[in-house]
Amino acid sequence: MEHYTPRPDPAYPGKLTDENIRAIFKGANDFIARKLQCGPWTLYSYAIDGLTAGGDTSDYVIKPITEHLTALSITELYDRALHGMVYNSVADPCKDLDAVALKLVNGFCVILFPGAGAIAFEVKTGVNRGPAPPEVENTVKGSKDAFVENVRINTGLLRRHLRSPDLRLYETQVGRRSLTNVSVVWLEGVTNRELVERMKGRLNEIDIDGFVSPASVEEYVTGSRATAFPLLQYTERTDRFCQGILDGQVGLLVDGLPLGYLAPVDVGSLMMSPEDRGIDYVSASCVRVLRYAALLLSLLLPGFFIAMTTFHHEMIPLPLLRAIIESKQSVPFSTAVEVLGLLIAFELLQESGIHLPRAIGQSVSIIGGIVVGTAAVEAKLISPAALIAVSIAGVCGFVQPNRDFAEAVRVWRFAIAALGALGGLFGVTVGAILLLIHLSGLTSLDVAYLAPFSEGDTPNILRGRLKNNKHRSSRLRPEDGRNQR
Amino acid sequence: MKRWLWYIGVVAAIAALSGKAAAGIDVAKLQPVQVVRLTCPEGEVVLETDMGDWGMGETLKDALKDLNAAASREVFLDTADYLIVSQDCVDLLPAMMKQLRPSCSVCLGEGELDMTQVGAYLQQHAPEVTLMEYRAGKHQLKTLVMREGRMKLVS
Repeated sequence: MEHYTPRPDPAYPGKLTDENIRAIFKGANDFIARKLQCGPWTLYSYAIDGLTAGGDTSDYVIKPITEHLTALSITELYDRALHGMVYNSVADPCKDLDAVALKLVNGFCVILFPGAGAIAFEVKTGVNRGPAPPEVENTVKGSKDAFVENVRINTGLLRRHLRSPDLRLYETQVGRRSLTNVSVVWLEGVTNRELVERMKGRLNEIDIDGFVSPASVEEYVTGSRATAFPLLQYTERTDRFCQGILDGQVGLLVDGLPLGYLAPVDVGSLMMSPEDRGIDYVSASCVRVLRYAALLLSLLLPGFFIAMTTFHHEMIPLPLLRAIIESKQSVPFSTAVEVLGLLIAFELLQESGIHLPRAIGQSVSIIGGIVVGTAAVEAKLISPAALIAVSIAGVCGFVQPNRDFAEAVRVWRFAIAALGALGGLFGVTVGAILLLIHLSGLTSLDVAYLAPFSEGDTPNILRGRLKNNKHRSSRLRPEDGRNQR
Repeated sequence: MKRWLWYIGVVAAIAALSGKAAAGIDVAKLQPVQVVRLTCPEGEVVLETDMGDWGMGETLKDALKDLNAAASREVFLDTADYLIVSQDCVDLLPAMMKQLRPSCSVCLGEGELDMTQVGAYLQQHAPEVTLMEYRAGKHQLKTLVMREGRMKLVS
C-alpha cells in the first residue's frame, strides 16, 4: 500500500540555535561554520563552500562584523548589522530554521546572533555560465543572449529587454528536496490576472521531491496530460520570451534550466519562429506558409505513400507509377514494411546523433544517412522511392520551429503510416481525424490548443505588417488589448 | 489510456470489417500498362498490352482471365491511357469501359501494330475520343494503321 508522506511544515522545527543549524547540515563537508567574536558577544557564521564567494564573505560580512560592529546589547547589534553596518546590498532577516537553510543553499552567508535572530547576507559566487548565443533557435538578426542556468541572471536579461517597471516576478521554491527556485513572470496591466493566479496555483500544488528536469516542469505545470504535444512553449531566447510576455502570456523561469517557458500556448504560436520577426512580413508570410505545408508533408507523406502504393495505385500518374515499380524491382519487402522500417531507422539516427559527442555525432549521422542509405538501396533492401518519401517527411519535420511539437508530429507520423498500411487512404483519414479530435480536446491554461483555427478568429498563418497588428490576441484575454496607437 | 484503447479498437474494428488490410496489393506486384489492344480474330477475343502480355478467350471475361494468368505480375489496366480496338470488336467497347478509366482514349486499329511503339506515338498524336465520350455518343473513331513502315492515325 502506498503511503503519502505529508509535507512537513516547518521542514526543520526547532529554535534558531547554533546546534540546530549545524544539525541540518550534519555530514555535509562543504558546510562551513565558524565562531566570530564581536566584542563581548559570540556570533556564528555559516556558509556553503562553492555557493559563496569566500573573498566577499570575508571582506563584506566578517570583517565589518568583527572590526566595526558594536552595540550595547545583542538585539542592538542585530539591528545595526541588519540596517547597514555590514557592507552588503542584501541583508535578509531569517526568522526560523527553514529560512536559514533556504538562504544557505542559495548562496547566502548567514550570521547567527544568539537570542536575537539570524541575518542572511548575499555573497553568491560569480562562477556562472555567461549568456551565449542560442543553440537551437538561431536567427541572423536577433539578439544572441540566450537564457542560462542561473535564474537571477535570466531575470536580469529579461529586465534588459523589457525595462518596464511593470514587469513582475513571483518567486517560489518547488520540490521538497531540490528547493528549485522558480519565477513566474508577467507584465502588470497587460497579462490577464487570472492566468497569473492559475500559474501560481499550479506551482503551489506541485508536491514532488525534485523539480530539476524539463520534463518535470512541463508535465507537472500542465497537469501531465496524455499527449505528446507540448502544452508549454519553451524558448532559449530572451527576446522571444519578452515578446510572449508583451503579447499577454505568462512566463516561467526555472533555476537550473537554460530555458524560459510561456503559457498559454496554441498551435499557431508553436508554428511561429523567432526569425519571423527578424525579416520583412512578405518573406515571413511565405516562410510560414511553407512551414505549414511542411507540417502536413511531415505528418502525412509516409502514410499517403503507403496508401497510394498499396491500395490506390490508380491515383498515381503513370510515369511516376512506372518509376516506383521499377525502383521496387527485387526489393524483398512490401512498401509498408519499407516505410515503417525507414522511419524507425531515421529515428535511430537522430537519437544516436543526440547522445554522441558532437564531433562523432555528426559523422555518425552522415555515415548513417548517406553510406547506409546508399548501400541499402544498392543492395535492393529498400527502394529509392520509399527512401525519398521518408527523407522528405523527415526534413519537413526539421522545419518546425518548436522541437517538442516536431517530436509529437513524429510520433503521430508513425501512427498515421501504420493506419495507411492497414486501411489505405481511409486509414490515413481516420488517423487525421483522430489527431484533430485529440488536438481539439487539448487546452493550455484553459486556452484551446486549436484556438487560432476556431472561434471565428482569423488564423495567423501569414504575418501581417506590424503597424496593422494593433491588438493583442483576444484568446489570452489581456487586460490591455491594444499594443500600439 | 481508456480513450486511446477505444480509439485504436474502433479503427481496428473498422479495418477488419472492411477487409481493407487484405485487399491491398503492393505496387511492386503490379504490371502497369499504357496501351491495350482488343481484337477478335476468328471469333476469339484477344487482349494485348504494350508490356508484351496477351490473353485469349471466347469472351472478354475469359480473355482477361487468361491475360492475368499468363502475366508475370498483376496486370493493372487502370493505368491504360489508350485502347485500340479492331472494327469487329467495337460491340465489346461497353464491356471494356468497365475495365479501363473513362478518360482512356480509344481508336480503331488495323493490321500489324508494334505494341511497344504505339504508346509513344499515341502520346504525341492522341485520339480525340475517350471512352467517356464514346459512351456519350461520340462514335467517330480514328483508325491507327501502319503505312510504309510508319504509324498513322487516320480518320
